[in-house]
Amino acid sequence: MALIVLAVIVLPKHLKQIINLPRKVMLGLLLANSIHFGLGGFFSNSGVALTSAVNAGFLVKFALVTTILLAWIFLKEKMTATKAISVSIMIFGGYLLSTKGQSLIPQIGDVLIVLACLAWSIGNILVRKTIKDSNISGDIVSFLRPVAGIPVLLFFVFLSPLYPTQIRSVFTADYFDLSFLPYVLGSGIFTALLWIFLNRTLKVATASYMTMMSMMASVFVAALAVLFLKEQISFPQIFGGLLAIAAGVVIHYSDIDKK
Amino acid sequence: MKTSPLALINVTLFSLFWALQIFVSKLEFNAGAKAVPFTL
Repeated sequence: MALIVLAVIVLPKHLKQIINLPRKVMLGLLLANSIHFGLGGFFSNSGVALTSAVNAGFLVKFALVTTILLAWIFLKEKMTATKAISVSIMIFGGYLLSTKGQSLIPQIGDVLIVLACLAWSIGNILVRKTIKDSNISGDIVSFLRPVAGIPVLLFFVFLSPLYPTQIRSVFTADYFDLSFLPYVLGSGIFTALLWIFLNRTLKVATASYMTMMSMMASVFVAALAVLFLKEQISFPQIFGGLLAIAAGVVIHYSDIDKK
Repeated sequence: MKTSPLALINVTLFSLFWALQIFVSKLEFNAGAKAVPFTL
């Protein structure tokens, strides 16, 4: 669904540039997107099947750490005390938001979630490296995400009979069941839009800035859950959200987005 | 150097749409859907 939405948004404006992309750049973007969406999707879906929701909710935030470390190593983005302290505060805030302060019991799926974080980070680092000093629009990267990622994910679906039962059940389903169509439409539209603004951010700001500021999403999710799903929010979660927002304000007004 | 307003607008919209995508996913899982077909 996201592919259709992206095709409608991106192709009329950028089709000529996509066709004329240098071969090396096209391969780089396809590789980045297959790792991000294909491998990341496989590891995250498998990991969720083999761990608790609490563990998964917190561990996906580990992408913050992996992205910053990889951006420091491969993109030479600065590692400052402000950045390190802000990340630590955000991780703690994210922990409180996701777990309400509960302790985590390690499970085997946790490793797969961390691998998913690595895949998402590597994808974002490759995208940032490819587009930051070029005239390539971030929207082109967004269009190529499902183009490169869906075949990889389908390959893992094809291999699903070989997986352990718990993981196999995640990938075994009626792929042509239309009873959830309204949700699929909504999800496809929001997925397309989140990819567009993710890659537009990577075009104008560092990968570190993007990953740290995107912690806002946890706060938005909590607000939506309280407003529309009538979920209860506890004091540790409110405190965690405030910590994440405070660290985000510090990051926005610090110098970490220097190119 | 202060971060550019464009970066802040883009990352805020990214976070907002990400949150909305998670919210819709939650509604669909509550309705009985499975993750992978939904992703594809």
